Formats: sequence, structure tokens, C-alpha cells
Amino acid sequence: MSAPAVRPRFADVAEENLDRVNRYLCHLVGDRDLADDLTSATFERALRDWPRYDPARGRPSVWLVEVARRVALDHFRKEGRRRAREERYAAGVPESVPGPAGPGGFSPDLRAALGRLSRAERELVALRVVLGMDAAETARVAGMSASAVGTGLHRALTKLRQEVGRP
Amino acid sequence: MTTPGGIGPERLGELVDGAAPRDDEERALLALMEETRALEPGASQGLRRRVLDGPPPRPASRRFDPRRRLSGVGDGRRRLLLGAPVVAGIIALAIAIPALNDSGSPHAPLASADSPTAVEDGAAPETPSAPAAGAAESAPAPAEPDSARAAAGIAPSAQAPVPSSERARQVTATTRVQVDDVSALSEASASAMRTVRSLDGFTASSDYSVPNGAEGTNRLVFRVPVDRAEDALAAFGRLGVVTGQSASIVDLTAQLRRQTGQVEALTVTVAELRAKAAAAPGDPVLAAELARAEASLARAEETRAATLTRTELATLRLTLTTEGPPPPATGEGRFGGPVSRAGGRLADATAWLLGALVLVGPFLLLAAVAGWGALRLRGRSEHRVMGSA
Repeated sequence: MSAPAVRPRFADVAEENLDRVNRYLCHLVGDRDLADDLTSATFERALRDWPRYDPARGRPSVWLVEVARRVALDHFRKEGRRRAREERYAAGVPESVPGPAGPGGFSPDLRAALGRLSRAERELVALRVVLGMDAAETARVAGMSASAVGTGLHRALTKLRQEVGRP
Repeated sequence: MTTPGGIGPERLGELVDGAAPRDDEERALLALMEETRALEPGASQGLRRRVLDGPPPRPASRRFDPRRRLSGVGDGRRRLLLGAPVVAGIIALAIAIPALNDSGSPHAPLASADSPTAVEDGAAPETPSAPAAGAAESAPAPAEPDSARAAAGIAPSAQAPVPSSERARQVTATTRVQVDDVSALSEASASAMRTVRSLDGFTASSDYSVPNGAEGTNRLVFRVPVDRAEDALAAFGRLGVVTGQSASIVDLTAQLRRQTGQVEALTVTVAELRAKAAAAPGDPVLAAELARAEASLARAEETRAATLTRTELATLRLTLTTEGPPPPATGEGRFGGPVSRAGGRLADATAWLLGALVLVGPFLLLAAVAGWGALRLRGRSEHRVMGSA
């Protein structure tokens, strides 16, 4: 029988994973300001749910990304309902507005190309490429099989390469 | 499956996990991934301050809000899907539990009139009974050695407990006698009443029942002077075949002696107070004290009289019936009885649980289906929101 996993302090976990969660949300929603708001909401919800976190079931970073995903999904649903109510947002409105360029000299073409991927594809890129999660963790967060993760990531990166003109 | 460039999903996974590139195409892909990683640098200083340094929310101080608790369940339609079966189940349980309790009540009358353990006033403990003819020899003896025969008297020559004239005892006996038919039942009932009257006793109650003309039972309760209880029981034994008998003797001598002592002490006290009151007429304190003492004396005398009455008249329960003896208890013994009772209780509990399951099962199934449906809806909603990968 293995020793029970040690529960870290929430403050340490938050400090260690703030960047990861923010980057994940930035990629998912494609809007820096919105991602910041959702990051804040994520840590608020994570603090509330922290007693329910089970260290034996996975790393805290994975759990935090799962919380962030739920927060983002709630936001998307709420936005969807709001848009449905307000018909002016019905169709043709881009789902995300690119945020201001951050430091690091990234390519605007690449950002635009990412924006043209679906949310699910952006999520896979964020989890596997940006956060460096392995296939099993990504599958757990995204709620799909590991093979589906591999296939989806392959499709997303292929699209991305085509979009930025680097076949 | 391969990309136009020839990197398959498995190889792509290896590259993402840190494998070294083999050719220019893989190097280009890694460069693209590096650029993607650098696209979002992470949390800004403002966000860092807001999340890490700002005042943390205090979940402990949040007031309970059911709507917030339900917010994770989904929208109103799904809440309804989940909530309706739960509410229906609770209502069904609320209806079912009293009904199930009522259905178990037929066991209760088993401990009524002709039960060997039934007592007229619950004050006196019963001695062990001998409910069946075959158990006569092994019936435990009553409290007093000279009355041991009472519990063992199953045969027509049944002997009553023999109270000693020096001791005050409360005597209770139960006899079950089988007669041939309804006609004999009537004759035996009349004979028993005559016998009791001839012994200076009386019939306290009679519960005569002939439901179908072929079988019948008469449950009689007699009060007979204690010293004649033996004669009465012997007469009952001659009415038919004795199929069960039990007796109980409780020695009330000490209780009676204590009560007598109290009466005597209070009598002396009252006499003294009366003398003082006669010497000092008009003293209100003395008068009040005298009144209290006289009331106490009256109560003590009543209690003692009631105890005396209990020791003077034996309670004899006679069940005359055309039915055979009750089925003997099998497997009884030091462990047999408790095990049998435990088994019975377990069977009752199992029956209760099965009944509850039958009643609640459909609702549980409905709730499970609703939960499954809610999960499916949530999955579809998620797929719709996130798009396809």
C-alpha cells in the first residue's frame, strides 16, 4: 500500500500554476483581458473547492486546469445564452477578439491562425504544446480518449501549419 | 494517417513530448510549437497581484445558498429532471414508512390476553413460563422452592403455587385447556365460573369467541383468594386437556412490611401532633403540619391496602379452546431462543427493506436515468461550445 499523497498548500499551488492557467485560458478564449478575468475566477473557485481536491487523483496543476476549463465552459455557455437573447450577436460575430501583443516577439500571423482553430483544437494545443501535459492528462482534462487527443492534436497542428503558411 | 508533410500522430506526440527532430520538417514543426509556447507569456503583474496578493475569498463565511449549490447541476431543465424523481421518492417514502410500520403491527397482539408473560399490573415480574406440555419437566422453577410445582403443573393434576401463610405473595397463573368442541367449550366455561364462585372468587373478564361454529376460544380472567388458587387450578385441569400453563409468584412481604412500618410511624407522628395541637389550639404552623402528616398517613394506608389486595387475590387466566396446543418452540435453548428472535427480526428488517426497495426502486431508476441524461446533455453542450477537435 502506497503512502497517502501529501496535500500541498493552496497558496503554493496557486503561485506555481498561475502562469500555466493563464496561458491555457489565453489560448482557449483568445482574449487576454477575458483570460485574466477567467483566471481570477478560476482561482476563486479553486480555493472554494480546494478541500475536495484529492492529491491521489492527479497533480494539482491538472486539477487547476480542469477547474479553469469548467470556468471557461460556464463562461461560454453564459455568453451563448446572452448572445441568443441579444440577437445582434446571433451569427457572424468572431468568437474572440485578439488581445494586445505581449512581450516575446510572437507572430501576429500565428495568433490569427490560432484564432481560426476551433476551441477544442486550441485547447489541445494549449494543453499538449503550451503546458506540456502528457496525453493521459490532456485526455482527462479534455474528456476524451488518449488516442483522440493524439489525432486531434495532429489535426490542429496540421491546420496551424497550413494557416501560417509553413507546410 | 499522415500529414502532407509525413509526420504522423504518433511521431507528433513524441515530438511534443521532447523527442529530437530527425529532419527539417520536424525542426520546422518544433519551431512552430516553440513560437506557440512563447505566444502567451503568462500572467501579468496586475493579474498576479489580483490573484495572489488580493484579499482571498472566505468560503467559510459565505452563507448557504441553495441556488449556488444547484448551480453546478446545470440549467433549470436538468435540475427539474434530477429534482423531480428525488422529490417523488421522498414523498413516496414519507407515505410508505408509516404504512410499512402499520403492516408490522399484527405481531403486537401476540402478547395479549393468553400470553404467558402478560400481567395484570406491570409492577410484578413474571417467573419463566412453561408454554407447552412437553416443556413441563424443564420449566424453570419459580422464585420460591415450595411453589416449584406451580410452573410444572401441566397435567390435569396441575398444582397451584402454594403461598405460605406467613408470606405475602402476588400470585398469577395462566392455563390453557383444550376441549373437544364448541359445546364442550360452553360447558367448560360455565363449570370454571361455578368453580371460581364456589371458591369465593369472581370472574374478572370473559372473551368468548366462536368465529365459525366449529372452533372457538374463551379467554377468562378470574380473581381467586390466594389460598384457594391451587384448588381452582386443579379444577381447571379437569375441564379438558391442559396444553400449557405458567405461574408467577412475587414475594411482596418486604414491601408490605415497609409500608406497614411507614403507616405505624406516621400514626405515631399524627398522634403526637394532635396532642400538641390540642395543647396549643390556634397555632397555624402546627395545624398545617398536622394536616400534612394526616394526608401522608392516608396515602400510606391506601398504598398498603392496595398491596394487601394484590396479595389476597390471585389472578388466574384460563384459556379454553377447541384448537390444539400452540406449536412447540423448536431449537429453543440457551442460544436457540435469541438466535430465533434475531432471525425473526432480521427477516422483518429484510422484508421492510425489500418493500421499501420495491416502492422506491422505480424512482431510483428514474433518477439514475435522469442523471445519465443530464450527463449526456452536459457532454453535448460541452461539445457544442468547444467545437470539434
